[in-house]
Amino acid sequence: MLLWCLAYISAWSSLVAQPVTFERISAENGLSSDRINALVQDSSGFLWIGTASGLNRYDGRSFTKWFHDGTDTTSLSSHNILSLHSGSAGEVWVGTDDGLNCYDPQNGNFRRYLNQPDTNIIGTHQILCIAIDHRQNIWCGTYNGIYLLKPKTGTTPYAIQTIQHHKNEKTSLADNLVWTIFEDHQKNIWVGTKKGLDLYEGDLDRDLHRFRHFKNNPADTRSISHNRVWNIQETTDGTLWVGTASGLNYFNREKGNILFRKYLYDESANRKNNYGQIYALHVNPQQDLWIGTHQHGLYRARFETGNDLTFQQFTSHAMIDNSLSGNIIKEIMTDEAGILWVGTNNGLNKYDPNANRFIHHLKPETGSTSYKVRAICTDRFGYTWIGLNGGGLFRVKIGNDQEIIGKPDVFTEKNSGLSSNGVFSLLADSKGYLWIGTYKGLNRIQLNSFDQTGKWDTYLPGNSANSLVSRYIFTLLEDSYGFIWAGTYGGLSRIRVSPKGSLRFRNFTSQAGDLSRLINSTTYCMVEDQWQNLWIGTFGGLSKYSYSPEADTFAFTSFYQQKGSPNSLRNNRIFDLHRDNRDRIWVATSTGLDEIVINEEKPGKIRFRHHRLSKKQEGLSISSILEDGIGRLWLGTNQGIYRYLPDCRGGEGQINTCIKVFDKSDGLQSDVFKRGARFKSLSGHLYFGGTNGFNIIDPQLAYSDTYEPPVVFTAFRLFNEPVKAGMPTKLGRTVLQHPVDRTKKLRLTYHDNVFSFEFAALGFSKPHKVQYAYRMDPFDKDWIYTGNLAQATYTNLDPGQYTFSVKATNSSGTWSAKTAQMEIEILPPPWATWWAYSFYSLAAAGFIISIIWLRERRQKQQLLAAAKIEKARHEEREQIRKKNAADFHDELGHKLTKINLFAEMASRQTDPDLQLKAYLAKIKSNTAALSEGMRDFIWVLDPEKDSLENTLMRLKEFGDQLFELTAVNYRVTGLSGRFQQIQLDLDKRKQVLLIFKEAMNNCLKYAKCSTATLSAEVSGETLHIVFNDDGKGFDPNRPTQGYGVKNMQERAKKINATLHLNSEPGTGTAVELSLTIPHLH
Amino acid sequence: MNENLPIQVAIVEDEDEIRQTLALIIDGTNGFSCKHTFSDCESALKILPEAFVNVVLMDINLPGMSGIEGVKQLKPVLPEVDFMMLTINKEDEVIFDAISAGASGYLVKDTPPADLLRAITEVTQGGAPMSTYIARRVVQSFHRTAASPLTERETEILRLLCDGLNYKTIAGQLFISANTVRVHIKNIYEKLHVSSRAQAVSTAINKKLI
Repeated sequence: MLLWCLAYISAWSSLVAQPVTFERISAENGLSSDRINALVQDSSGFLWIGTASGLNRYDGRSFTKWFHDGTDTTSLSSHNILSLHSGSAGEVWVGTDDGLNCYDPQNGNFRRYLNQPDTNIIGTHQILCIAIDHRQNIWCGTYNGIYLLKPKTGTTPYAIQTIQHHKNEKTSLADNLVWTIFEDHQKNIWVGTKKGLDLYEGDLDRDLHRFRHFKNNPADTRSISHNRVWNIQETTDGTLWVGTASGLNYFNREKGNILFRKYLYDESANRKNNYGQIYALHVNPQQDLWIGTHQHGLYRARFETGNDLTFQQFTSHAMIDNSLSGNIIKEIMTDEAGILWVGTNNGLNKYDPNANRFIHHLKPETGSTSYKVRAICTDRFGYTWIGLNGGGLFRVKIGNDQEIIGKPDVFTEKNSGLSSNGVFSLLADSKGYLWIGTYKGLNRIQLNSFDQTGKWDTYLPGNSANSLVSRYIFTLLEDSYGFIWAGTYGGLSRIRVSPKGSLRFRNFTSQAGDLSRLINSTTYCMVEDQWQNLWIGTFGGLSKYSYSPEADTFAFTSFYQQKGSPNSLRNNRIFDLHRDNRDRIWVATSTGLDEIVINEEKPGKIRFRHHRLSKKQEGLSISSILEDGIGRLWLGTNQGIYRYLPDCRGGEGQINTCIKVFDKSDGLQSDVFKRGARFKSLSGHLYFGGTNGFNIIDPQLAYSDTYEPPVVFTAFRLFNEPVKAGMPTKLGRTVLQHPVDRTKKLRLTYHDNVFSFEFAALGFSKPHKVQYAYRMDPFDKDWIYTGNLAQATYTNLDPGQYTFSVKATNSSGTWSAKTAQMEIEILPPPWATWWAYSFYSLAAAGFIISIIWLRERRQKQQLLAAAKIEKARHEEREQIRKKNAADFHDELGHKLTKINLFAEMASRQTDPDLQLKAYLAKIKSNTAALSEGMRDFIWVLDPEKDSLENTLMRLKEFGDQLFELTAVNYRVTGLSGRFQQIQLDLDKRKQVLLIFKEAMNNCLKYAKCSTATLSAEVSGETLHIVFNDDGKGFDPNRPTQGYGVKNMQERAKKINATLHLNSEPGTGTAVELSLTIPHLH
Repeated sequence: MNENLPIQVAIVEDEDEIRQTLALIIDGTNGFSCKHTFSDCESALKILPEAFVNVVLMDINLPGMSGIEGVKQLKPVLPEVDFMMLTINKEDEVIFDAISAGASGYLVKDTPPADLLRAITEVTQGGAPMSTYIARRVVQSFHRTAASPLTERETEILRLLCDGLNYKTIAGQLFISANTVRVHIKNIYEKLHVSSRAQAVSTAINKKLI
């Protein structure tokens, strides 16, 4: 075996066109310290940076920092972070100089293990390395052996044991100083110690720990290069790479023999200067080896053809700010997106292999002005000519890797025949000349034989028409007829060069209003179409120049912007014209891109199709157009370079896939590219110039970011105060149970009416180019695009359920499918909850009901009162009536008494004259009847005599009196105490009285009876009053007079009663009155 | 009562023509004599106690002292005299008060004079008209006193009166004459009067009026 001892190769010509540059992140950007010891990316996508002074978590926009807090046992045990490892559930293991910590993402706290009070083993607690094997055991290497944490159930999640070196046990750990532990793909555990490499060969289940040792043997060149083993990594082919204090070792056991092949091994140098001190070792997904050394920077190693490693070194240069920031490299890692992170003693470095770093030449040197590139062309001799505004003319040789070989040749007014240092256009014609359009005239030199300091052909406007139309030349073109065209500030010159070399000028200028001429004299650009027409872009529109060579005649057609006509030119300021590989003519204007659409059948009908290049196209001005080999247009604009595929069919949200934008962060000279400063080389490279030099773009190597970053919430604020997980807010509620990036649901009250979220897309390529959009469903109808602002605030949302979603693009503008969502519930204020509302409606209903009830009651009371009043009035009226009647009766009674007395006296005075006596008797009987009638009248009116009993009593007394002195036996039966309760109204008692008085009178007059009975009886609701006698009776069918039967019937009818007259001659008479008394019971 | 002597009637009536004509009629009728007429109680009170009278016809509505009051004052002085109240309408309540005061009965003023004279005759023979209403009031009145001073017969008659039977029927039912019924009623009146008088005294004692 040959001893391979390879020195590194520096300045290796890279096969990669884009160079490796680093972006630096330091304490100035927010890192807690520049001394970086460890790096890891957790399963959520956050980047963790462990420094000598604090633990950082980076989300692409800001750093969250953790330190040791002596009063808080859930804080870090120390802020000197030595190692990091990520767990599968988002937890992060942090090894410090005082113990092991585990970050729990669910609560944002650290759980401590193995720090001073915890362990039962004497020794240090500096956790130098952490590894997690396939069984989820945690291996920690310290100065005093290995701590093995085995997961278990119970109050503590791990059982802790130690693995140590035992002098007398050969198979014990080689040394207690363990720098690295690594599990390979065959699940072997490798341990790097101070005294060699160890392979674990024990039994983990039974805790029998045994190791196999690989040590350095100076006599064996196949042994490991050094016993201090600092790093172990593995490539997919199964090779183990072991970094030591002196050299990198390639170790492949499958090959049968144990062979360590050494690299970066410097036998001679002492430790201090040894370039082979491998502090950090990393294998990236492309299986490149990245090697971090002590003081010698970073190496990238690859197996090239020939089965051997080739190295590329990157070191820190103070002057080059995209070089590494420091040469002592402690940690290297590659994140999910493929970005390489290098932690040094002087900050963090980021190399994005997918970020563009376009070649940029003529960058300004410190102190001097920038190079304003206005024209570029290459000649047939391999030179590239660059015209500068104010810098003259440069000639450079560009190498295969697009680098400038040597120094540029600089031609200025002073040192050459150049008319002016302001060079705006260049043309290398087909005859070997270089035409130079300057601020002060047109120059021409012969390319292969010009005299720099000699006089150059100069053309200026003169008195005759056969001269240049204007001395300020913007653009130059050679057409297919061989004419040289010069577009100037003041017109267009067509130059014919005779075979003898003399020039003839034909000039074209514009005239206002005359559309048959050139449309505007200030001519910016020209292009020839497939029909040899010349299209001329000017300050004020587009002209088409058609030429017929046979007749030497020409014609101008004008095109300009017509407001209201959508098919006309979008803008009159035309900066560039381009004919693509399908002979389409593209127009670059100060407001965007147009395509000239010529209908072949109707060549006269020309319309302009407007192409939309960005969502918000304000201010986009296109200054130059180039085309790459696959038909994509590259546009130099004032907002970077756009790559546009014209026939790309993408939807509204897909505008970014057809269009790519490159800007300064891709390595472009600036965002502003100048009109006309563009050139496509024969090799297909695209040259774009601007205010800061020029770029050479390889269209095939212009990368765009394809990584889709996850979006996480990074902060939640209430009233602009950040809310901590598990901590109550000012109002006393604990709003966040978990850190916001682990919160899925949020419950807010009506107090929390101003809240905001901060979020981040965990993609580190170019965080400033990430676009965000969010929406609050159902409050927001659509996504709200915020650009790079990663914050959303909401105020006074109505109570209800919401879903808040955030999406983000990557650095190239492609929307990532991994959105972040938060369910938010805003509780209504107590007075707005459903039960409050139902309470309200109940209360309202109750209120209404009580109002109605009160009103009804009042109405009822009013009615009652009214009734009472009415009743009282009625009674009063009756009393008054009675009193009036009584008074009248009094009066009348006295008069009647007197009449009686006088009649009596009269009858006593005279002789008994029968006739007179008869008349006097009549007077007496009539007055008696009148008197009786009056008494009845009064009695009927008396409201106190309203019971049935009163009526019957009266009838009884009347009968008593009537039959007293007669032979008739009169009696009354059926009187019952009940009758006191039965009421008869005025009409009834009157009629009843009169009916039965009549009946009794009739009986006395005609019946000639011996017994007369008045009886009363109630059956059901009917009152029956019967007066019967046992007299001689009569025939009721015979029309009778004087019996008053009709009278009685009519009286009965008046009170809705029925009267029955039962009589038969010889059997007596019965007068029965039936009267319905309601409510009789 | 000596039937041969004419019945001495006195009239206390404020209506002049009635008083005078009535006096004439009574006096002009055989068996009757009317020598004393007064237009108010006060003058009657002065003269009557010394006069020889059998029946006094007392108008209830009199100016000054009412007829009932007059009876109250005169009856103790003239216990043998029958006081008959004169009234236009038969106000039961008033009549009961009169009877309680000592009246023997009442007469309706515009009664035909013949009936009037007959009634006077009756009352001197011991009869006194009692209506069911007054009977009930009497019962009530007696219930108010501690013990009923009525005899069994009297109570029975009173009860039958309360039931609404007339004298004839009562007489038939009890196998006595109608006259006897009237005599019993008169006695009831007497006792009522006494009892009511006694009640007044007791009330007065209770009220410490005497």
